[in-house]
Amino acid sequence: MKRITIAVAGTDGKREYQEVQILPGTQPRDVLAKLGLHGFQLSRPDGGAFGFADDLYQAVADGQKVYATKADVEAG
Amino acid sequence: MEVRILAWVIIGLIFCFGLFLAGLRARPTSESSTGPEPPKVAASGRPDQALLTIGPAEPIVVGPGTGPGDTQGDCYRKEGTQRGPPWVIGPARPVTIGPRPRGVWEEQGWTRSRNDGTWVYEGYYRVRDRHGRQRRFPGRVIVRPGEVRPYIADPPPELRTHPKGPCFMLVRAPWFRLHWHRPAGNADEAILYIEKVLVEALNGRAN
Repeated sequence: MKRITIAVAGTDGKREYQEVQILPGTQPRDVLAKLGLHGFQLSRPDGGAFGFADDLYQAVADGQKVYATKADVEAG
Repeated sequence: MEVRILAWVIIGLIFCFGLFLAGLRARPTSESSTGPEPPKVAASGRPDQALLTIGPAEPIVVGPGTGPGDTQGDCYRKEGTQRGPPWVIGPARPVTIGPRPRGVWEEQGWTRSRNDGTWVYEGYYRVRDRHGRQRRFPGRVIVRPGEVRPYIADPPPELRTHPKGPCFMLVRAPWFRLHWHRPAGNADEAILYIEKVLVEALNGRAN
């Protein structure tokens, strides 16, 4: 089990979920659904974004902060 | 009564006589003395060193504690004295210090300044390429009410082949401005979005 922090981008840290514990096999969509973050995606610590079905547990370290950002932002 | 007094007098005389005999025996004579010279007798009649006894001093036992002014309890322990209450020393109460909540821009080392109602964020977009190297590109995000304008300086050439590459327009070398289709609502979202595009461009992935 790993403990991570989910912070919503753009809230200057005012919206954070600090005690999120994830089990092996947890995917970003599991976390987003559990926290009610519909229309968001999780950003990778090294840049980029997680796919909704990526293995979140393998990709993060214990105690890491992961940002949730709106998924509909798009250049054009 | 008189008999009892007489008996005490006789006992006293016998005791004094005994002392006299003992003194005669202990007195050294010049004929029998083969050792060092006996101690000299002072003018007052008392020997200088004969009765001086030097032996081990009274043992001093020092236990845990402090001085007399201490109010913590028994601080000076000497053998034979009653001990005070035992001191219990345990680990101090831990203080947990965690990071205060920060936005993406602050977490990644960007700075923010305000100019005529406009927030200007400056820093570096940081991404890791497929070889595990950390790459960074100068960035700036200007936030006005209802508008978020992200800029990037010297973007990597790989960005040209990315589907969103044409959305980066050169405004003043080396700065490029990103045009939105669905705009970010704040600087954090703009920074994360550009980093996402950079990762896709550098690592050959695209939406």
